[in-house]
Amino acid sequence: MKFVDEFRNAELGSILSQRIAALAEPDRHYKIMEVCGGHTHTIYRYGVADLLPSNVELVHGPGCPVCVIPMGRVDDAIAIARRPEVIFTCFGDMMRVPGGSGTLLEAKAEGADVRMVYSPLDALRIAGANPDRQVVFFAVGFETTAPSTALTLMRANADGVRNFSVFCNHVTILPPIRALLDSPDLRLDGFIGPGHVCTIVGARPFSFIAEGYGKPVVISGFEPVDVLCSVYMILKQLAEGRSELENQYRRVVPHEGSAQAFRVLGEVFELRPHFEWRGLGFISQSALRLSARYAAFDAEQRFPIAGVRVADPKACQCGEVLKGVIKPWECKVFGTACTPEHPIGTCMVSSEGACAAYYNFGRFTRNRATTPVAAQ
Amino acid sequence: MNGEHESSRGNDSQCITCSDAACTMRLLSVDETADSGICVDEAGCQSEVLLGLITAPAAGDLLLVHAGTALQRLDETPTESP
Repeated sequence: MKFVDEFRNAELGSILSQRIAALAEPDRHYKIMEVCGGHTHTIYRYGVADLLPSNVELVHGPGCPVCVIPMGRVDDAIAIARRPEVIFTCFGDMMRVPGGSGTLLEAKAEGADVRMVYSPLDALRIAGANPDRQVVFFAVGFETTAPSTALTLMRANADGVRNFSVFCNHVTILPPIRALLDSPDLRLDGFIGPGHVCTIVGARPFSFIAEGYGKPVVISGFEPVDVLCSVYMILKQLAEGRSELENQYRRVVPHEGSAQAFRVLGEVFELRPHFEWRGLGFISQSALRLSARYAAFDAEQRFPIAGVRVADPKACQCGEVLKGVIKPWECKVFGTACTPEHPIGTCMVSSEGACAAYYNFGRFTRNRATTPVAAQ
Repeated sequence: MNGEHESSRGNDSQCITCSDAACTMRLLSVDETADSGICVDEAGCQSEVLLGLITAPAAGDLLLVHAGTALQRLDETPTESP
């Protein structure tokens, strides 16, 4: 398949692996954060980490939108879903995210009308087919997903749909990256930037990482050769004493963002003053809500929302995992009390979550050989 | 739903919450009044895709699609190798 086969080529992967090993200084430990959950998934699914020298460590960032939703928001979603007039729609993974009072899947088992959809447009179709019910879409996701919600709301508005609303939990990626960079907990040498977010916002907004914090950042694609190539580009910058924004994913990502996307986002959304991120706490201007123009479609105005903050379970260390402070398997409940079948924390729910990715693809390799890959 | 199935919409090994996951689809036809089109994936499954982010979409375009919305038109000119 075009744009896939060449970026899963084993020979290219092997060459990049050898070049990375040749670049890595043996007495230096490198920590590189992949911001996006899609990259985390690729790294474990294809064993990318095993192609790196032991002193090149990939640290998983806060880029899985399921993982960063706090428990209180899940409880609010469940409260809406339990209303008898409501058909509550959401992406599949969100059904299994535990709040303080269970999951949407459990609410469904108890009689709530909760339905899985693959897009906001699917939810709007359900509204069209059920004019006597209130259809609510649980909107999660970064800048990649927010335009889809926005375009769907613009269509609903144009068509005069009155039984459709959105429980908006869209978040933006730059504020949490800045929060991580300002955190004293973490020392990072470089960043693998989120490729598909950049199809919307462009590569340019990530330049502050290089210019303001002196860290190399490479916008990366999602195939294994993409990720290896990005690691190589970061190590090359470090070896040459550079800290720049580079774009490995040029086949998709432009330097400037999408003017059309900014237009629809600006029409439908506005920034929230602050929003709670799981593991990271409240971050200013890091999430979206519906603008006044689309207030009629705002589920938070249509239904009563408790908005109670719920503390994470004590045993759960998702916060440390999301900040890259600990590895998934270092969590006390990883793989024992917390599994993909019975998740305690959000990172074990979505397959892009670091814990689920590690559990599904990498849990048996935690003690992998520490022998560096031979340099050419 | 227009013959959609797992191939274009995620599977057990891929996140269906789509934080950052997207797939390539070929645009078959455009409905300008709805600002959408019918796309087909590699497996031949068709679905409606919103085209509001694409300038002058045309049948035959290869699109990067995420959550039912086309994010980018892919340039198929062989100018880049990994």
